[in-house]
Amino acid sequence: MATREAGKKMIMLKSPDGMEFEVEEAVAMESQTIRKMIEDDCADTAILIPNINSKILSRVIEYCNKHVPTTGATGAAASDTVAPAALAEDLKIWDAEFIKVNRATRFNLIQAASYLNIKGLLDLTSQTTIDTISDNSLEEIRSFLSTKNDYLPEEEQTIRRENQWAFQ
Amino acid sequence: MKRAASSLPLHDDLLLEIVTWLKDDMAALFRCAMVCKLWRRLVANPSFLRRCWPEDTSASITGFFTREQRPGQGVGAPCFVPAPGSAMGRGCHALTTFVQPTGQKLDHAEPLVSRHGLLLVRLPSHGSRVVHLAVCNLLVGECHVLPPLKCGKVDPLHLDWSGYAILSGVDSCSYNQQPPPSNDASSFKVVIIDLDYNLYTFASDKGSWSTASRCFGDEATSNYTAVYHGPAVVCRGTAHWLFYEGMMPGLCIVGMEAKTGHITLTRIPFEMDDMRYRPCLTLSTDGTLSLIYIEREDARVLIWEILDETTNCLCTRSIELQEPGKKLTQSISSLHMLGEKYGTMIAQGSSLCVYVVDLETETVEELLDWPNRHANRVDVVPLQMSWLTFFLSRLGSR
Repeated sequence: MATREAGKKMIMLKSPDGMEFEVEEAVAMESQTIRKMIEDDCADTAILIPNINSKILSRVIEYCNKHVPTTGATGAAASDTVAPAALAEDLKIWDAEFIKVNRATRFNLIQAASYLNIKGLLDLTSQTTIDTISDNSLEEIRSFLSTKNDYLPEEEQTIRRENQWAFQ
Repeated sequence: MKRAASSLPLHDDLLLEIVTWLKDDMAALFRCAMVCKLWRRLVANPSFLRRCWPEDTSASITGFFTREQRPGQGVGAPCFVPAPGSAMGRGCHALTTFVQPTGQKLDHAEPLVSRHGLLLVRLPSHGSRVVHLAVCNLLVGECHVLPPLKCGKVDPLHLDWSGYAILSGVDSCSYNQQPPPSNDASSFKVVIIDLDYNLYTFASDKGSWSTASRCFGDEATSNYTAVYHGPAVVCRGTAHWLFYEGMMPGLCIVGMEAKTGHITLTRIPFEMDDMRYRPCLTLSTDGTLSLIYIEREDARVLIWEILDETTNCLCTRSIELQEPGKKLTQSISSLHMLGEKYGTMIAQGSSLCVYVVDLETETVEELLDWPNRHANRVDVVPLQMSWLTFFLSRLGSR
């Protein structure tokens, strides 16, 4: 693969809509799926990432760039001067900003995180979705998920009446 | 699977992966199942729920029933506080959010004992010599009011200190016999043993109370003054109660076999200052009937197995009480036990804080949201139920 800077191996990622992203190997390997491809030597040329469009892929890369461990050659200066707790706090704030996206983008990110097997991103996107589900009423959850309610009104009413513990 | 109702761009597996995050918030998980029928099929699925709650069994202690009691106020409505780490999360839930009584208010009901998702409660009796009881089936949300029980010469107030037991259909199967595949909570027995060893039995299939019968001849109780009756411990199809007989040394265990009604009396020469430690019955990890108490001075829990043949006791476990990550605090060192079942103990400290002790992991955790700062033993009923069975029963069979 091409190398941009000395010591940093670069990887090309391709989205199905034809966009190409050149990323450091360490960043790409935040994805366990890509890591496996690289380790199995299936990644001499560009890696095609199916099902993930360029808009989502660029966001995923943005996430991986931020989360790639800073203890290695890259960003060593940062970890020397900033306390780990402060770094973690900074990352948390960054994550909170990162996930402020619309519903469709969030679900696309979940799907991408799952396919690429990026645990941190899957946890972040799932947790945000779960927070929405636990903090809202059934009607709000349905509208958030754009799901059509196929319970009969009387059926739903009965279950609600008998299970007030779940609807307090 | 076709996804007619849901427009989510997620596969079912991924959806479930996300929903698994709600395993500590069962109410939210329940609402998820109510989103649409596809979600219900996905969530109300035993293998999915088993993954969420791998430790869950029908013997799990999921939390505690008590009655609300705030400073300056009288005794309030019965409510449920989930155990730490329970699938229900935290909080305090009124009994009436689980059970819809028909024609009977549960606002002043007093929880007595629970087994396999059944909760026996006493309804207000307005001073008459009649006891009103009801069985709340938490699995299906129904409340069966039992026919009034006439106690004859017995003062109903004495029933505060009587031994109660509720036995589910599973208990009435012979020991070693396979229990029915479904958790059959529709058939049950209620047994009360009063201060004079009179026994009252209600069987749901008969729909009536048996006449009060004295378990033992006068000889058995001639010198007796009962000090405390603990809640029944059911083991191998037999309900056991612990008695102290004031004038006699040692303790006395009365057992009643659920299937046959056969009564046994076992005296154990266990000498201790019972007023100080007040042991109660429990089952050891291998299912042996045992005594359990907190030795306050040393802040430790002691478990004595009762050996059948010699009716002797053997101290088999000693557990130091310690809050995780904390030094022994004053409140921990003066804990007294409010109840214990299946390795989960609830106890109160001198600061009136209430703690849950996991006897298996030997950890102590404060029970937040506890609404009754002045609870004594009769006010606390550990709920024994499987959340999985509860969840499926509330959703699956419709």
